[in-house]
Amino acid sequence: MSEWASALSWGRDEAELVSELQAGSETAFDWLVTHYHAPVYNLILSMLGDTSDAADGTQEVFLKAFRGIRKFRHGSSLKTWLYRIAIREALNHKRWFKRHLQKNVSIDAEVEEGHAAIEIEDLAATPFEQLASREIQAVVQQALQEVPDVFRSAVILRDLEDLSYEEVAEVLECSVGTVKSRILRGRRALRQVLEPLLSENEPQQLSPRSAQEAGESATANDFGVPAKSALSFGNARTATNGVQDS
Amino acid sequence: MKCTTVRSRLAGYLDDALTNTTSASERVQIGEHLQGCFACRAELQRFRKLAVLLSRAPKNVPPPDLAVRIKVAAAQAQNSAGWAGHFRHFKDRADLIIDHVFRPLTVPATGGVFSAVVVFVLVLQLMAPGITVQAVPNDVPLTILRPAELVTLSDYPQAFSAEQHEPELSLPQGLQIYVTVDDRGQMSDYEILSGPASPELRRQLDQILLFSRFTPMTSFGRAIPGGHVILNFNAVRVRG
Repeated sequence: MSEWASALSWGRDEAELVSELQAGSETAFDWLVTHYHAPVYNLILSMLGDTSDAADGTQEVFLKAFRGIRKFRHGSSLKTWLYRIAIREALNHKRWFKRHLQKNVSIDAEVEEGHAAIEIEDLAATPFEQLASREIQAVVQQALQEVPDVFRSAVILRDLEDLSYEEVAEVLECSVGTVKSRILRGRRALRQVLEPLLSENEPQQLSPRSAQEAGESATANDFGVPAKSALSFGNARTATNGVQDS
Repeated sequence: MKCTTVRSRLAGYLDDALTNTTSASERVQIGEHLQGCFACRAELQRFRKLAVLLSRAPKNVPPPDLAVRIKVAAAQAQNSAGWAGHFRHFKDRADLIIDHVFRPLTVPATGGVFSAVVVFVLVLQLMAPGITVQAVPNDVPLTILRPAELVTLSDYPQAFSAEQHEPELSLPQGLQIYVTVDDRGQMSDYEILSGPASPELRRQLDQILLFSRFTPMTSFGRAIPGGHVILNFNAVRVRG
């Protein structure tokens, strides 16, 4: 019977997996890599914006996990532990980069090899509902690079990886209140960067000042925003097409 | 409630990101303001679009060989004490390790043989986990233990037609299968190492692998079960 078939049953009992890892079992480690290398890669790429940095970083995360598994506290979650190492790895990479390369680190979006940087204004020509997955992925990744690290990690963990606030707090090693505040600032930064895309096809472009001058007497129109919104950030993943409240 | 106050809260209005800083009555006030204020509603709409964008953003898919590279690097790191002199400058370069893995190598008593065969658009990787290797290029391999190999892949006409599945099935990113071969040269088990794993794909793989033929692992010329082959698919079409 192949080793692999027995390795697959580990989904059930994480405590057993941790014990095996701490005992140095290579099969257990292989399972860990197979199961988690994709989300760790996704996390680091969203943080760093470069595919080869992300691949190297992912490898480093698992090597560090392998070396540090004995310090793992039984009872805490393997996933948040790995993600914590991943975020640290991504943040360290940037610090090293800034310190050792003596260049002005540009705040412009880093361009992935082989892909042209997407012009956000160009994408705004497409109706929002018709954006292709590939375009969404590129524009989100690009926009993330323009959000400060510390807010970026919070938004990635919450809005892209769907972690709970408690899990994000465990990964970032801060309080839930701090997590929420970082998420808000991250979302605001993204909203600014993605302005052309988010504001396309609006019936009237009002600047904040003119809106206040127009006063609160504007009548409700087809926007019809209900007081209790059906859309929440966490649940929006079930939508496959279009804007949910249309 | 003024627009400026409302605007400052909109980023967290749609979910409960506001809970610490905003009371329930303040939320109600924001809701009331929104009903009467077009501009703030428009701003909320932008945050709503942002939420949709983030939720629809597909995950980044890692390179197909990343998992294997990591496992090799970890095995290497674990054994680097024994091969310190030979491998020290290779320790952090997983891609160089892959290059060495792909050359014919002599076999320690506990080991398997590494070799590479390129078949049309398939790159076959042969690996037995937990084995350390000594790189002695250009030497005549002493094959005490010969690994399992793929002979032919079955000619399944409907294989991997990416258009038959949802657009997110990004097979061009690669698909890695770890196949266990019994002593008769047939697949006894397989596992998808990386790549999509939908039920339709598994059904197609079942068919293809069932009718594919392998040579079993041999020990001193006698076929034994437990050989492994890693198949790496990059192509999408098999013309039937």
